[in-house]
Amino acid sequence: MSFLQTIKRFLQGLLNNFFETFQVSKKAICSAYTHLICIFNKLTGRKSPKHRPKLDCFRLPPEVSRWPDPCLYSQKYLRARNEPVIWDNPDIKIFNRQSGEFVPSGELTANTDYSVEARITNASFDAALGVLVGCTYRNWGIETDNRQSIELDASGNPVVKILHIAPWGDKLAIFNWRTPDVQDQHICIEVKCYHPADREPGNNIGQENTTVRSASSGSSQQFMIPFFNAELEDRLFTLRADNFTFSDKMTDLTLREVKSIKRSKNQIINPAKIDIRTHKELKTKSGTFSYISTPSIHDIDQRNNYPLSPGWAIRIAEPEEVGALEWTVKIPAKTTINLNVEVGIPGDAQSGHTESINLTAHDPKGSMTGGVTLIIKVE
Amino acid sequence: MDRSYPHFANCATPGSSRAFSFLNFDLLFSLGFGGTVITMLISVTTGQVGCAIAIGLLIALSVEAHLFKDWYYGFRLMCIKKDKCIIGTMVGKAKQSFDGDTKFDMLVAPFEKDEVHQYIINQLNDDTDEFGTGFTDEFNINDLIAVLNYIRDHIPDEERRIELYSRVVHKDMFNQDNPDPDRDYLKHFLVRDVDEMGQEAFDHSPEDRYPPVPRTDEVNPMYRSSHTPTDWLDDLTGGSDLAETLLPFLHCELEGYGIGRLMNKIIAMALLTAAAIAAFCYLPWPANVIVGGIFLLIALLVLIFYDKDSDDSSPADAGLDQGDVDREAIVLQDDVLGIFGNWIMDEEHTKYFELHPIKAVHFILKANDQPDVTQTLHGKPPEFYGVSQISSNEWEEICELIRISETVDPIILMRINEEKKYAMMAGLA
Repeated sequence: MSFLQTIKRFLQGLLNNFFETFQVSKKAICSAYTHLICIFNKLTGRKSPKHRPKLDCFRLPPEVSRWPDPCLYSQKYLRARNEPVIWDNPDIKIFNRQSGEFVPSGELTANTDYSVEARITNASFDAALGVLVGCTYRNWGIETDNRQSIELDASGNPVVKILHIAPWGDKLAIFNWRTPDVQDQHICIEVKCYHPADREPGNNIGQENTTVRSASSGSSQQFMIPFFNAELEDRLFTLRADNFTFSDKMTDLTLREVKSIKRSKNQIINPAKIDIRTHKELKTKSGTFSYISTPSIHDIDQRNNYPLSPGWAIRIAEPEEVGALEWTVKIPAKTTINLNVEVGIPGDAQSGHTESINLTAHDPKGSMTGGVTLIIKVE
Repeated sequence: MDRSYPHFANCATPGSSRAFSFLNFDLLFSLGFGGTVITMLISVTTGQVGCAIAIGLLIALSVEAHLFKDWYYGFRLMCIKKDKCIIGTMVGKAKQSFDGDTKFDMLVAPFEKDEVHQYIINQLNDDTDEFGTGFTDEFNINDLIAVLNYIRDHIPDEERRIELYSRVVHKDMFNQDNPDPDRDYLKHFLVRDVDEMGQEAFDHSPEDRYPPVPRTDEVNPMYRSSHTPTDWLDDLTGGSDLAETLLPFLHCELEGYGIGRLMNKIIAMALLTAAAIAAFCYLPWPANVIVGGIFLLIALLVLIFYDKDSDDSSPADAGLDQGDVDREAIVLQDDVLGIFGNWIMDEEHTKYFELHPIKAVHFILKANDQPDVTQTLHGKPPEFYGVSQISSNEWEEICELIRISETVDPIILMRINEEKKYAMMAGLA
């Protein structure tokens, strides 16, 4: 046995005897220590460990709290950011359950079984777990009321679908729907999703609100569009028309380190971010990263960049025309008026051309109220 | 991918982790032998024995504090499995404790609180020989406070409490004779399972057999409850950190650095004081007063200002930047959460099994929150989703998504079409 080991054994024996002889337990030593800490805390004005409250609610550190962003193509969210919108929603599609064929929302028939597919995307680095999705329909038009659930369960309650969505992934919520036995199957479908820790709750409602017509060149088409003022006061609405549709353009997103990102007009944007300690491909140590688009999708106000195609014209009977493709209309409180819209098709319109005309309404404060898309196919 | 999260402790492999002991050989050696040697050396060199003893003891104390910190953050926790996921309901209230950790306790899915409350009540009512003390009325689920008080006041015997909870866990929640795969998916967090834990962790953790009695030091349940006995470390850290609830639960902890900061303070104070004593004893006047005074002043400043505003566990404790907080995530009792973290056994607290540290908290359901996503004119829909509806398959799906979120590198380049661009616009810079 080495000299050190002998000393160690001696000390161990000594302390063993001490603890046994004086019956000193760890608990007693810690109790004495705690009292000393209490005295120190009183002298220095700190909280005593004994008096730390249990917390009714607890704020998670940002590094461990997760913020998914379940979303869909949301006209309201996009218009609030001056983006152009279309009411032919790419995330809401209707299929005939018997044939499996895609059916435009303006071409539904009575007493027919359809499935409505709502695509919910998660625009976040964090999984979206337990996303609730509901789907309703109402009469076609701008802000018409009387929403009804697309699908009811055996007890007559609205069906709500539950989705779990991967980061930057998407999933379908599929609802079964038998159209009511009424002649006019012109409807608007609305999909809403919800998550309790939604990073951006503003992009959770999307609408599908279109009508499709075929027409010959040189003719004109009449549309009657109901417009409901849901508020308890008369309001002066602004209507704007454009022909925005999705192009084939692709957008490149790059994962880049961010500090704070500024957009035009000094508005801070708040993209999804991820705190990474290490990343194999980036060969980075640590930092906060986000997907940055090239070119930036936030810098351009595109509202006036989508005039109708040459020769196409739109006239609305009663509202006052206040500018190019812009009208105002006053609607009494809780009243529906019918807008008589006439679309003129140029004589030289090519057969097969499709013109999508988006009519979007805004309230006096500039907030988007609703809209429709008129899709006209030239025969 | 390794995401940032508050992290200070590392678990030790099964067999190398250990409970704290004042008789721990290294600590004793540092305090006794180390201090003695230093004292002897200084005494022989200077001839001033009193100063030498004081300096030697202070240096030994600093070494002791360092070793305690080393044990606390390096050997106290036994690794079981890295990166585990649970789903559960938060029970009781969160607590921020002395060591800087924030703790909350989870009733594992798919069990709902009322279901397990009823199991406890049934056990109390059904076996009055074992648990009864002459109550004339049966317990019912509408008076859980009475049940809680009854267990606390009338079943003081630890073995009988463990018997009660073992019946609830081993027989009612996870019926050994009639297992239900669709409800047993988180059983291994409350009942030992060698396949889930791995042989080494299984061999180095206490048995949790049912029936649990006779209970010895080698027999200890995996689950915790408010009625779990406290130990010396609970006293040290300000009482039990467990939730006040009837329910058996899995304990989860967000790491803080309270003990580390305390030990740092002790080390700094001890060394500065030793330096001050050395200056007073061995420097000529007036240098001894000036230098010694400076060291004492620094020690005083450390005592007062180091760690002054760090009472509670917070991101700032972890030295993490809070500037990127989008919104505060508030966790409440009854929230259903998906929690991702390392599965460990704490060698203290009579062997806790925990998720520690918590690396991520995913909300699944908020307490009392059933939004109307159908927006009908019929008012709010009935409750349509609850933790009891989470099946084994759904749990696997959820945990796989959590694993992807937490461990898979996000791709660097992504190309999306216009439809996706507009749908996901809120997430893009």
